[in-house]
Parts: sequence; structure tokens; C-alpha cells
Amino acid sequence: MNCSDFKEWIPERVSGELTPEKKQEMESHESSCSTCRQALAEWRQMESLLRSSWPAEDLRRSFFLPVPPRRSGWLETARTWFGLASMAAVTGCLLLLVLFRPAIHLDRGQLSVNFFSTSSESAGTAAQPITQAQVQGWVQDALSQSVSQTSSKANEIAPSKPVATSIEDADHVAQLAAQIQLLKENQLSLWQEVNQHGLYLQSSWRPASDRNDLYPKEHSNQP
Amino acid sequence: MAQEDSDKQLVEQALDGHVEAFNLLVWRCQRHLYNFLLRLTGDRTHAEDLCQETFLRGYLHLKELRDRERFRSWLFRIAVNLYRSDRRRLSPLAADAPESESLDGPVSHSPSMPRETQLAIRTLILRLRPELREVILLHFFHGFHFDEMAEILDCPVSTLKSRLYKAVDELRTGLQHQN
Repeated sequence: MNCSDFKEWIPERVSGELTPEKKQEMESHESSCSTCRQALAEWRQMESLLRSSWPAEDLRRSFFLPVPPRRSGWLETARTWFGLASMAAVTGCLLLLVLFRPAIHLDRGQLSVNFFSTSSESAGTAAQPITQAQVQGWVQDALSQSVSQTSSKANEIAPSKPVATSIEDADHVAQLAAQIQLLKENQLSLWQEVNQHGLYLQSSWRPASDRNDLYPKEHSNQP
Repeated sequence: MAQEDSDKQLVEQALDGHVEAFNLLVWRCQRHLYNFLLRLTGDRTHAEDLCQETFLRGYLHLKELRDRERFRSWLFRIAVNLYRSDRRRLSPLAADAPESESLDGPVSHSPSMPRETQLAIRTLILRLRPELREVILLHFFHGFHFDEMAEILDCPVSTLKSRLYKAVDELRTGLQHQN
């Protein structure tokens, strides 16, 4: 090895990259050449000088990447899906309520939901509560109407034939009179029932247009 | 994954989708890489940005790493390429010019050397042309061997050696002028 070769291999020698054979060659040359020995020492000195001139600094922050959430097991997956389904059901119900605005009635413990009632209808019932006096009026009107219909029916029969011209007519008149009497008794009993029980009316009852529904069934079937 | 796992094992785990394994690689390399970029740019904020970008690109292109034992060299190569393209983008005409000295903030102090000498040598390093500075930093400060440097800087070992000698000569001359 000559001085030129030695100089060329100085960096590898200092950084420890040489093969053992090459290192041995350099060492044997180094022992016999003071210039090359000096060159090697200067190189080492330069390396030390540079390294100590700029020591490593600590980091001001880290550069870690964000870790995504772990893959969940089947239980966590089921829990997640159940939660999502519940949220979807609640959202759906709320949307139905907002979009269709159904009429909801609570009448004597019975809940009824009507999706097809108009908003004006529900607004009307809410705005006009039905009083007991109104119901009494409707009952009276209905009974009067029923009595007048029965009376007119009797009048239709009566003028066509003379009064008590025959036994059949007399019987017929007597039947009509009995029916009128029965109606009057019914009216009286209904009045008593209305007065006794008070007929507590909910605000959800329908207005005057449907007033005939207020009759109890056993009375509405009667003439 | 464990701390005693080799870089190669951690790279394989990261390729399987374990970001934690990659973060362990980051933990091993970040101080090394940050200080290299700091000495290369002379600017802490710039070095941090480049470091962050390097790790992000490294993660995104990890499957392109052929020799998984050479993760560090590969990462430094990404960093050098980012630094070079950044220089070209910021000042195309001055891409080969020395770095402007902008070491603001607290300077890490070496007890064995006066502060003035330290700053003078740093200034000389920053005044070197980028291709000389890269070689000096990789060889003297970060202990890379010539075959690794050839991979990082993408040039033959003979070129690297001549650059190294040239850089050392320039530094020596600069120091003599200051003395």
C-alpha cells in the first residue's frame, strides 16, 4: 500500500468499514509512514471537532402517526349495530310525528292515534271544548226532532181518514199515543241520567256536526 | 410488537396494518432524522415540517421498501429528496446555493468547545454547497457507511468520497481563516 491508497481509505478506516485484511495493510503502512499517520490523526481530529460543534438537539415535538381505533369483537359490533338501530327507530318516529302531525287522544285510559286527521280538525277540537250545557241542548234537540217526526207521522195518517171511523184507526192512534208517551219517558230518564252522571266530556269529542254520536247506543236505536 | 423487535420485523408489522409498529420505528429514528434535517436546513421549524412529511410519506409508501432491513437509509433518502425538492420549489435559481444561516432560538451547547467556535463551525457547515453538506452530515454526524450513503444520496461511492474530501478541505480552510 502506498500513501495515495492510504489516504483514500482513511474515511473507511475511521468509520470502521474496512475488512480485516485491508485494515492490517493500513496499519503496516501507518507504522512506517509518519505523513500518513499525521493525515489519519488530522482526519480523526476533524471528525471530533465537527461532532462536538453541533450536538444533537432534543425534539420539540413527536412525529407519531395517529393510531386508528382497534377492530372491535362481535359483542362490540352487535352493541354498535343495536345502538344504531335504536337511534334509527327513534329518529323515524320523530320524523313521522313531525311530517304527519297525528291527532293523539287519551280518553278514559284509552290512547288513540289518528294519522289522517287534518290539522284544522285537531286545532278546532282543541280550541272549542264542549260544555255540558251544549250536550244537554243536543239531547233536547234530538228528542224534540224524534217526537216531531213521530207526531208528523201520526198527522199523516189522521187527516186522510175521519177520526175514530173504524176500530183499526182507533187502535193505530192509541199505538202512536203510547209511542209518544214512551219517548217522553225516555227523554225524562235520559235527562235524569245526564244530570246524575254529569257526562264528563273530554275536549277530544267531536264538535256539533257529529253530535248524534253522543247518544248512548240503547237510546239511539229507539225512534 | 416489542421494543427488541428489529427494524425489519417492525416494518413487516406496519405493513400488516399496525400503525403502532410504525410509530415504534418513528420513535427510534425521529431524533436522528430531525437533527440531520436541522443541520441540513439550519432552521428548526423547517426541519420539523420536513421530518413530519418524511414519516408520513414513509408510512404511505412503505410497501415500496424492498430491503426491509434498510428502513433507516430509505427514510433518510425520502428526507433528502424532500429537502432537495423543497429547495428547488422555494428558490429555483439558488438550489445549489449554500443554506442561509438562520439558527434562531437556543443553541445546543457542547461543554468541550467555546460557544463562538461552535457557531463558527456551524456557519461553515451551512455555507457548504448542499451536496457537500449532505455527505459531511451523513458521514460524520450520523455515522452512515458509504454503501448506505450511496443509497441515500443516489450516487456512486467514489463520488461520495471525492465530495467528502472536498468538504473537509473547505472546512479546514475556513477554520484556518477564522483562526
